[in-house]
Amino acid sequence: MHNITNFDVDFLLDLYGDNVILSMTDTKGIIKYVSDAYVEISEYSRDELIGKSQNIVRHPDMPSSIFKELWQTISSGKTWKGEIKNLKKYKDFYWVKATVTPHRDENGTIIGYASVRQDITDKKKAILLHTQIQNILNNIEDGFLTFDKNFTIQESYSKNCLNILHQNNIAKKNIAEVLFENDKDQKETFLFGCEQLFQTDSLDTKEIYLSLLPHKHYNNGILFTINYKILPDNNILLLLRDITNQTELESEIKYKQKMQNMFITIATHKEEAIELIQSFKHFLQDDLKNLETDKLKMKLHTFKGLFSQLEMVNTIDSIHEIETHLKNNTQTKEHRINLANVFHQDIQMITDSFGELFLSPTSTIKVELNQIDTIESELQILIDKEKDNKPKLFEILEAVRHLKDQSLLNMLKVHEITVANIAKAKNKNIYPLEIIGSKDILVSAEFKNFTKTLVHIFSNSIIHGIEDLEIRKKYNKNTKGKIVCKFKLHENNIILNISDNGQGIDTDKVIKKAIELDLTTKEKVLKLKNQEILQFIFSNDFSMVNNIDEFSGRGIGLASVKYELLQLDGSVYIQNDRFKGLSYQFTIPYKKDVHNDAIVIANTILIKTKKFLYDDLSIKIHNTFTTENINTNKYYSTIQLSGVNNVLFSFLMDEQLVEKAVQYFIHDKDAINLNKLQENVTAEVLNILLGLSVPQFPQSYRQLKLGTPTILDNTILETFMQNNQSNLIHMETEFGNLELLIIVLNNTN
Amino acid sequence: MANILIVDDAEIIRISISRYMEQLGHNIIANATNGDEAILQYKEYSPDLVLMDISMPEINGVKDGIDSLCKIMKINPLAKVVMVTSQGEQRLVMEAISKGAKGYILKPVSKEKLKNILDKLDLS
Repeated sequence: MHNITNFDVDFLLDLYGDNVILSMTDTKGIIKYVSDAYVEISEYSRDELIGKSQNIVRHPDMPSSIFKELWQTISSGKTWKGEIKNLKKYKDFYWVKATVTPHRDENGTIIGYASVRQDITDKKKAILLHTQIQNILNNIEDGFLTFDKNFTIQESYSKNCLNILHQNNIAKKNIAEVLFENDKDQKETFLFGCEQLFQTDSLDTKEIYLSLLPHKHYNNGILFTINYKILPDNNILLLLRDITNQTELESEIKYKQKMQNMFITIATHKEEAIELIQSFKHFLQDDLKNLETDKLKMKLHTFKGLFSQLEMVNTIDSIHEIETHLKNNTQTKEHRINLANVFHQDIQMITDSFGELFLSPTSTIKVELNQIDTIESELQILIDKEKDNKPKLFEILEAVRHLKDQSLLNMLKVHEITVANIAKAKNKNIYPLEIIGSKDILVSAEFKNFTKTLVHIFSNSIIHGIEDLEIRKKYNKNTKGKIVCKFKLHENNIILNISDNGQGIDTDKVIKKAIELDLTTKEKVLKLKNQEILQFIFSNDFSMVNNIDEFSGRGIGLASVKYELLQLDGSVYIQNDRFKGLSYQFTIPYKKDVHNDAIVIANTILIKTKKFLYDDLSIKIHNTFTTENINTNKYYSTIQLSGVNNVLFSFLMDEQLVEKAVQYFIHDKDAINLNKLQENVTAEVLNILLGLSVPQFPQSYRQLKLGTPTILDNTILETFMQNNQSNLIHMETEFGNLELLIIVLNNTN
Repeated sequence: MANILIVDDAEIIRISISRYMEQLGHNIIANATNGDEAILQYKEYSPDLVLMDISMPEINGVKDGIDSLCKIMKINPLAKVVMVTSQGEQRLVMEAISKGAKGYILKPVSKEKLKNILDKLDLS
């Protein structure tokens, strides 16, 4: 060792031995000297090391080829550099970056080797960890990334972020820009929420802000969910998940639904549709190219509103797109062409459904029913706001409503021709139909459905009532048959009487047929009154003849009269004078309130519910009945519909049904927040059903307002039920039960 | 038992919140249908909790739920106000939270949601 005992070396070793891992060996690799740092890291004592082979710290992980290379290098007199994993005394390891140099005497002969090492264990561990994490990140479907207080995206993120966000590289970019590049509102909400979140120290408040950040976004054809987590270093971790494929199927169904809505609205608002479409065509031709941006924005916005009313969704979306581009100054000719194309596709769909002529403007000026409806609804709004002058306004409203009424006499007049035609076809000799009544008796348009069905009464009279000429002569009757239709007002009822001078009804034949159809039995029929027997002729499938022709015998005719009569809350009485004649007396309430929109909708929603279950969810309905007992300890999703009447709709579905419904629309834009909670899903279903039912009544739905869904339990609903008229419908399906509770609120509620 | 002030322009929401709160063992000390009323009621009763609809029609210059919230926070910086909100009002809610609201409930309001918020605010 005397060779290295010169002052300089000793001095340096004293100075740096603590810090530098240093060792010297002889030419065979036997340790001759170790620094303090070497002793410390190896966990051996100096005595244990000196005189031992350098192999004492060799780690089994290191391939022998490395040491072979090392020895070849240094024994040939050169310096070797490399990274080596070493073994500690107690089996742990450490990594070093080593430089091994030959040590020579004055003659230049190699007498040993000196090694200087630097501890790189931490670095090695970090690299390993990083690789492991990156491997995980690159092989998972979800997008993971983190960003800091300055909204800068950190270096480590999962590969899939790039696909979801449609980017090549996102490290060091601004997270808000990357996530919401085209959506100013979302970006603003996101930035505001995150800033507040970074500012507050309260974990609870942080959680609140997290829950309010955007959780779903659509960009570049990809729909993804966003979940947030605050990391210990206060950075935020984002989890992005692509849900485009999951939603495609659902959105297709949604799209079809929207198209249906469009057709319904356009059919019922024809005039408005024609006018709007014409003016938009002009707009596309001239204004779109020539108008300055500000005016163009305003016009587009107005059009968007108008098209929304007609539910022309494709055009609306396209206008919305061009609006966004206008805002960002990125609007181009392609966007304008696209708008025109989409619009023409919508028009094409309309004319495909309704025929080419549907959208051609007419030159005659008519007061359309829907114009009266507009006036009506505006009046309704006035009445809602008005406090002092309500009675006067109601009077005007009534007058406006009566504009839609029609003369009953005119409605019946069409039958003059029908009667003449049938008589001619059947070779019966009869006088022209005589209609007696005031032309001033006006009835609502609904009445028409009933008066149309009267054709069956007339044809019955002609075919079965009025005898052939020979028979009439034989019985000394007037050779000509006669049918008279009389109507008048009596105690707020319309009394409509249709009589003939034919042979009347053979009640024995009616009884025989009724027994045949299982409408009654031989025993029961003995107890029936004459009138009850006669009423059998209004039953379904009741036909007195065997041959079926254009005018008679299908057996559905009189049943349809009865059906329409019931729609008007009317009743019928039959006066049968055998061989002299037959008369029907219809009694129909005159002042039936036809404006009970909400109540009418209440009836429709039941049909819509059945359709939804059966057609959309393919669920079989076993049984439907009304009941009085509300379920206890259950929560009903409730929506209030306000119109002339206020109606509460409450809905309860069994878990299995809810699950079915969830499958149907869980990927809908808002459904992501439903949490699958039973009440929320039922509320959403109810919303959809009401949404489908309300537009069915175009003349009134401007006046109708749907409230926000609320969860009410049975105790609250019971109090409502006690004070109001209510109807609880129970439906049994193959996947559990459904309950629909309809409560008509008194105005005082 | 907490004394609660309900502020909402929709009666059905007020009724249902009242009933649930009573079922949860709390006392509805007052109701208000707009921001102005809310502030008067707050001054009079100093309730333990205010449930406030975030978007109410503008009356007498009191713009909406947030305006009323700010005024209540001025009267009592420790006031507990919870906003009642609908889908799509996230930005408004954030503003309310930054102005001192202690939380929010998303409509439809249910007993569970009310219980959760009461638990969070240590009022149950």
